[in-house]
Amino acid sequence: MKNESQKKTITERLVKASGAKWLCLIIGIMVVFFYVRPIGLPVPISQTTKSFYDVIEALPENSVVGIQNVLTPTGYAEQKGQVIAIYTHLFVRPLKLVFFNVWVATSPPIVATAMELVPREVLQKRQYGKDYAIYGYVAGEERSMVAIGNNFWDAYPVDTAGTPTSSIPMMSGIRTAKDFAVIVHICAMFPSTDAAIRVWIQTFKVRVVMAVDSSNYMALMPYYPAIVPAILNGVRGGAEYEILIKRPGDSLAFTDAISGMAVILIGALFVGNVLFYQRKQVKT
Amino acid sequence: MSNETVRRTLPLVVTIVVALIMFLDYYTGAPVVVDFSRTITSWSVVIGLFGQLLGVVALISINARHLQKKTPKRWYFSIMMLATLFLFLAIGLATTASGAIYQLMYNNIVVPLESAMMGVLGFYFIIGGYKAFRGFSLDVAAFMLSLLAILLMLAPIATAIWPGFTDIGGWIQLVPNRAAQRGVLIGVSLGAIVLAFNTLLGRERGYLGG
Repeated sequence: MKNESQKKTITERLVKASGAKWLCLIIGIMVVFFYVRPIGLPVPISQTTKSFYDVIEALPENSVVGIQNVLTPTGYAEQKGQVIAIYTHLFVRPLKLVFFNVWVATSPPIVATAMELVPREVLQKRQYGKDYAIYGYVAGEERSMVAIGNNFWDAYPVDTAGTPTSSIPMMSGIRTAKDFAVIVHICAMFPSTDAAIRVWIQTFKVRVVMAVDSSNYMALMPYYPAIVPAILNGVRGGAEYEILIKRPGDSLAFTDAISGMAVILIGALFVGNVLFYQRKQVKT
Repeated sequence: MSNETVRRTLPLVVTIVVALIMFLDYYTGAPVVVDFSRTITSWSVVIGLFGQLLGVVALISINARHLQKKTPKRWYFSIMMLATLFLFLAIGLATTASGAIYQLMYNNIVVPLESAMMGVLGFYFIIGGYKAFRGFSLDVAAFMLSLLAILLMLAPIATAIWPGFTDIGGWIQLVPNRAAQRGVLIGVSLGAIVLAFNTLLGRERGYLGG
């Protein structure tokens, strides 16, 4: 009588011998390899990303844009490229930018880091206090968004440097939600996207575009395009945006790694099924 | 005032009054109610901050207890937790979150650690996919095909081979996914309305501790 190991198929024995740790190693090497040496496969632009770009491009000069950040270190791993691309595009355009943070206290240091990664030549053309202002974190999740929309000055009496809002020149005309032409909601926290829709779109009637991670992207589909006119989808959306603003960056470098992961996953699914049916045959 | 009044009746009255004000603010827009609701919203931001402070106090208290009792396999983590907490707190207070030292610590400790945790998920997904998507029952096949469609839509290598993957993935996103998500949303929203009415009527007392 054959024992258990003899019943196993050749493929199964090969996979078992190599083990999951080798699969993990291959994935790791693949991701690092493609990040260091991207092949540069073409990335078609999706409609959701194109809409995002168009919304920002269509804003008249001196329009006020609120950048509502809900960034976490976990989500930033996926969103870094898109965050930098969005900030860069916003700074390139002649707009009044108000950066603020809600929902998670982890956001302000990430915004500060991302700001340092915006190309110097772009940032140097904009003047703090005249063209943009950066505010910290306000606790209270959805209620903080309501408070900001009701009275920005009350919610944020000072900016991150401690300068009173009343003495920041560009803030003189920005007091309530109606002063914002559009809110750019950047986040990887699902409840905050729903809250942003309830507060900014439904209550204050302000247009909102969103930049989210891939899992939130799917959850936002019911709102697209009627309620949320534009959405950026994780690394892929970031890569598409980098192409649109003609500044290749982190996301574009990662798209080849996504291709690598897709090939490995499809391979793993194929091997898994071959094993399954071979085993089934052995049993019968 | 009796203990029961303080613990249950008073919070219940506060909840009902606040909920009513918010309700009237949204549906009537009467200036007096709007002003009052805005004031309450500002208060709620302050209350939120106190909530966070309470969280920090609870965290310190729990870890200090572990340290005091020298809980096996735990106390050294508590030392690490408290040391990190106070270090970040001190530097954050001294230099603010935008300060150079705080940024340096945050970017080189917190961000890589949390990103690594997220990155590990990728490995689990692939190994999970290899183990779970075996055999072609209707459920597994539907799940696997939608997974493949989305994956191939996102992977430039696939769309470079055949641009049709974009359309297939897009259709999955915009039709079945959107329909299912909308169903879930409507269900959740109806549940939220029921919960809101129950809270308004004082029937929902779960937040008071049962």
